[in-house]
Amino acid sequence: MPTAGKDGIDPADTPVVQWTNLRVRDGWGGRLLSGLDLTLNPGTAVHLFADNPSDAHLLMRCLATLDWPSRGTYCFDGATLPFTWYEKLLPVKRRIGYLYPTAAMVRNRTVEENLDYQAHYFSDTNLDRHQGVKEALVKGFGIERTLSLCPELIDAMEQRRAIVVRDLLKEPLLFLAEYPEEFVGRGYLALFISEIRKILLRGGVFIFTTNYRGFGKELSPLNLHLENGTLVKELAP
Amino acid sequence: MKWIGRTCGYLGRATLDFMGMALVRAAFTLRILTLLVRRPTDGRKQVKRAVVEQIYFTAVQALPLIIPLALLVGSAVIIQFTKLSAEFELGKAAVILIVREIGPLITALVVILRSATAVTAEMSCMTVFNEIEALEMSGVDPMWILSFSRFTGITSAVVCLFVVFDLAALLGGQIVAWVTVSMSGDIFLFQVARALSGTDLVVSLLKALLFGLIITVVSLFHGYTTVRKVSRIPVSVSRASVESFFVCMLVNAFVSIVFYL
Repeated sequence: MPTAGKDGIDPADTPVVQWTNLRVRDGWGGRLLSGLDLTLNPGTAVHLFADNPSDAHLLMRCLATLDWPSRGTYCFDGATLPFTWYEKLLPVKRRIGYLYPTAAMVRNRTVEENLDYQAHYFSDTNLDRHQGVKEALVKGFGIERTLSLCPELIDAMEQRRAIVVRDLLKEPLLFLAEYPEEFVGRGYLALFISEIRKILLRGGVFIFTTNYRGFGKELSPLNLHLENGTLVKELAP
Repeated sequence: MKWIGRTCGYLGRATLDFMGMALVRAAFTLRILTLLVRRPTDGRKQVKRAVVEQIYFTAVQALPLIIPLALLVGSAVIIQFTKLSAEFELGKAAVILIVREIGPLITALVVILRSATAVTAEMSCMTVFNEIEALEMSGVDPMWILSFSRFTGITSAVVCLFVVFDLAALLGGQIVAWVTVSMSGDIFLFQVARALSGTDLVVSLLKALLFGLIITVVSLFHGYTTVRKVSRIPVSVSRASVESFFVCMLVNAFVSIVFYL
């Protein structure tokens, strides 16, 4: 699992996300977000409100580096992201967990292979630690019986919980979640929040959108408003 | 005069579109080829596993199809040629028709029908259903796991299948020669060996190598660029297979002209 922080710089001082005058366009729907300035310090939870859910989705995709900005700078953990160099973005993506409505698992691999894929791919992984964390999360989210099956053979809710486990296993620095209640359901919400709390304690940032009133209250999130294609202001919790 | 302007505009736009498409394909091919001279820093086990899986799917599973096909083609070619020249120059005909032309083309056709369609469909599904994004979000480069493995797997499979096809087709020809014109197997093989030059082997292997490259690049390209609609998957599969076959024919003709004309 990747370690956060940079040589000679106290990770606690470096914003996890810093956007300066960012502009991003959705290639499919033609939506445009512009003039985005955002600084998110370690340990911050953010509740994102948007007048249009498509704008919130586009903003989340941009945070996840899946949609690339056409203007402005995006600094992640102190480093400016080179959007013209695809390969250099991959280590950044590895440190971002992202739950979104169309998130998927690789279908010609079993659920367990999906959960282990990244850990076994990267040589800097502590496999014993990965195995321990995986077992705890799999048990906690109730997906033990699905491990040997392909994602297509399990029901949609189990598949979504498996995606949550996969993204938590990355131990991400930035965790993005669009409507997380639809991934974990009410039954596993408390466990999910406790895992998010661990991310925040490690110096990570959690950004979410939700339709579930009261979700994430215990994390004291900042409220971030996205109106008419731009961020209006950050409010104290 | 308006129609002249409209025609010029249409031709200009079509040319620019064509150039754009060609450039994107060239860039994609270059990106895959650069992987050959690099070593992945991580995930070598997964890449190796994917390469072995691809060779199994493309080469080993195709053997029960390619061997009978080669026997039939070899027999048919020799049957036709015995009508023309009895036992004279049968070996030379076998080399010219089977080794130089038909072998690489039929091998390519089998691989296009079996594997290029499968690879395009798989890649298109992965694109449409966000599985490639899932790999990306894990920090895994899809070019290594998906493209490199299919490229090396399919290309080496085409070369191996071509060798198997030629051997089986010559065996089929030998049997027919023995049955129809009572030519002993030794004489047919001697004629083949005498007619076969180093250039024939090199050119045929070069063709097989180029066909493998073309099939992989075209099918991966169409797979990755499928518009995010399920209804576009069959379109991509159809386009990839037709384009692969057409480009293979084109390259086949080009290589034959360069080396044999």
